[in-house]
Amino acid sequence: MSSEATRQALFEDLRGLMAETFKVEAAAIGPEAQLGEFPQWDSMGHMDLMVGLETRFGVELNAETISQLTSIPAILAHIEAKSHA
Amino acid sequence: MPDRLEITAQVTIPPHLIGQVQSKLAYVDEAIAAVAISADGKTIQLRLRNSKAAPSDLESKVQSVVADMAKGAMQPKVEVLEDHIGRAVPFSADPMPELLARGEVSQEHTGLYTLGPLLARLIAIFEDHFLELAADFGAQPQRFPTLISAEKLGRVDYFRAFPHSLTFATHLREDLHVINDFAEHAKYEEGGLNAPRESFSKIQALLSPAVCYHLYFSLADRPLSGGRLAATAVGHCFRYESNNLNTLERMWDFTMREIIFVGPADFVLQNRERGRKQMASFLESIGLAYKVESANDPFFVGEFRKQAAFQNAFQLKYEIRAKLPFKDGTLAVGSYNYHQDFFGRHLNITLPDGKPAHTGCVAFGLERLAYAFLCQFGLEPAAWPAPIREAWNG
Repeated sequence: MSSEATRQALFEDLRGLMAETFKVEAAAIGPEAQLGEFPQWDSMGHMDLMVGLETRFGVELNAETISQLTSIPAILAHIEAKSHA
Repeated sequence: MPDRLEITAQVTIPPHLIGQVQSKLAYVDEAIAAVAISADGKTIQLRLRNSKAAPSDLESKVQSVVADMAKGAMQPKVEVLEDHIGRAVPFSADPMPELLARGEVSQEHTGLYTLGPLLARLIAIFEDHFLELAADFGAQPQRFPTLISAEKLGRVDYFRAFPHSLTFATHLREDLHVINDFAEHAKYEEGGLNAPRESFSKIQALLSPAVCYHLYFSLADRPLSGGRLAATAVGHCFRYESNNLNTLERMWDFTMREIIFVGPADFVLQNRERGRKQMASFLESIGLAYKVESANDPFFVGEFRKQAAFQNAFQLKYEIRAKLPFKDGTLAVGSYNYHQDFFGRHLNITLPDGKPAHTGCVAFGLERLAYAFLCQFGLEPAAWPAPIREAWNG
């Protein structure tokens, strides 16, 4: 699978998690979405997402990840970097 | 039922959470009179008052609170912005016995205190300073009610975040029989008024837990005129703290002065920082032993882990913690807060570009600040630091 295809698959996986977490249609979540962009992605929603990222992708929950993983591009980059580490 | 119960925690409480878990355990059951957690976070001791509560039920509730707060808790990033906690101060005794003996403080009820001229005048001196600070920001004075709308508090999710500390306001229902019956039979017995609960109205208002909320409510559902706002107000705040109520350190009814900012994020953050720096100069001038470090609000159990982690990660709250020499501890006497666009979104306060407004405030607990000052400098004005002594004599 090409890196572009891998990234697209990862995005779809993340979007599925976010749709489930925020109880919104996956199609409503764009590739550049960020914290605060829609009402469900507020502080509590963000923390629910972080717990989901921990469970689904093994992202470590700490002050740095919580404060930095505030957009889809940032989350994707973090997961990709982690998988290459 | 035994008067003590020792519980081995199924989830070890990390050191940074021991104080916060301990304070929340007061709300677990009315049978609990006091709570102590061992330094290793493994053992919880409860002192119990007369109650029919089953020990197994108590233990189950305690384990549930500990698990909710401690399981998977994130190690907080502690950021210390100012550290003058080691500053030498001339007084080290507990001032409360002397304040009570002199009649400068009297307890009306648990958590409710009357302050005499010493504390009243000292607080007025601090207030003069805060008003000057507010004027530097061009903050417009406001006066807010002591009661606060239940409907509006619900709109900002307050009930979910802080249900344990709410104080409700009610009144007798508009019913001649109810009112006459109350007038004839009401008396205080067995720890409360004896009137039946159905005599009271639905709760439409509460006693306000904070000052700045009133400003945000007044700005709701409209564009923010001018796009930015600084305001200041002082008000009584009410937070029920159960067994944690303790002298002037933790009162049910206390007073806060706030300077509040509403506008774009950079406006709020810059003013919060400017407020901190100006306050640092003042605290330096009076030689208070204190530190400023990151903190979190006292969210209730269900919300605690996530909300506290969010506040910590984004460094939304810093507290001024003054040294209490007599107990080798500290007391939060003020805070610097940033709420991001939480109130702007929930209350539909919009900026000229249509985006939700950001909010923040600097807040000072007046009784706590005066109390911490007396803990460090004693009760004799002649021994106080020059700026306060001169204002006292002025």
